[in-house]
Amino acid sequence: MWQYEKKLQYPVNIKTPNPKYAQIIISQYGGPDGELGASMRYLTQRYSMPYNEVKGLLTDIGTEELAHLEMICAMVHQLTRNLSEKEIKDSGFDTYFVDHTNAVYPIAASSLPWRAEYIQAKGDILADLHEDLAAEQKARVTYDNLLRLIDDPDILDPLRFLRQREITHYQRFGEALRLTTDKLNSKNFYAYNPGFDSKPCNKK
Amino acid sequence: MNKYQLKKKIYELDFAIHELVLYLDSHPTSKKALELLEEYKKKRRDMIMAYEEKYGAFVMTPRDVEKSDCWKWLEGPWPWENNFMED
Repeated sequence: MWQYEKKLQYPVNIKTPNPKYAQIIISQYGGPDGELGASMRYLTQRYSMPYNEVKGLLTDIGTEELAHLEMICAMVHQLTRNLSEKEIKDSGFDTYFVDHTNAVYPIAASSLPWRAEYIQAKGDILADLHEDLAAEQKARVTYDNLLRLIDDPDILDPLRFLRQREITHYQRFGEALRLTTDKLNSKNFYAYNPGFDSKPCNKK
Repeated sequence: MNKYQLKKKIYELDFAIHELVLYLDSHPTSKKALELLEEYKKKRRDMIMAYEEKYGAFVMTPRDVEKSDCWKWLEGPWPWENNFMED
């Protein structure tokens, strides 16, 4: 189960609404490398993991990603408050507004809604951990791109925090991969799936 | 420390504790990390106490809501309503 804490992991206090920025930041909620996908990926992969260290890491990072999507949603919410009809039309926010008003809906910057195809749970620890390492790097690049396009310090501060978390998670997943290769039978670790087979080549 | 400073300190300790939790997932026998975690957990308890003495519940979860005539959990502002610097 989960218990909600009535706070953000890191504060978001945006003074000036900007629907243009909201439309690109929303990608880190519902986009291909966004926080919603990150959380669902890690929490979903846990069940087939053979090692406690990796079960723990996926649980704790998957939980932190929920806090990250809440921060992204807070940013989108604060950037789209109190807009006039003119601001909505002039910023190009009208195409989002017509479907969602000022609700925060999980879509990519390109407007594609969030899809489960963004994530994978392969039931193979090496395949899954490599996906997780790649996912952290892709999310980091998305933050780099946002940092290039935005110049409001109120937005840059929490975005920099979130970018740094991608780097920390990449580090931890790298350690999980090292632990895994240490534990697997070195003669077999590419040949069988430890989430499914109890010993290598056990098919008669 | 004023309300904002205390709040900031608790946020920082929460972050440090979370970082240690992730570190311990991949280094479960690190004595240094286990000791630091205990130290920060204690500091966090002290800070929460200092905060609650002056300003009432540091509302974190529904379990922490103080006894009252009405359900205080519902009182705003909610976390996404930029409230960190206020009050």
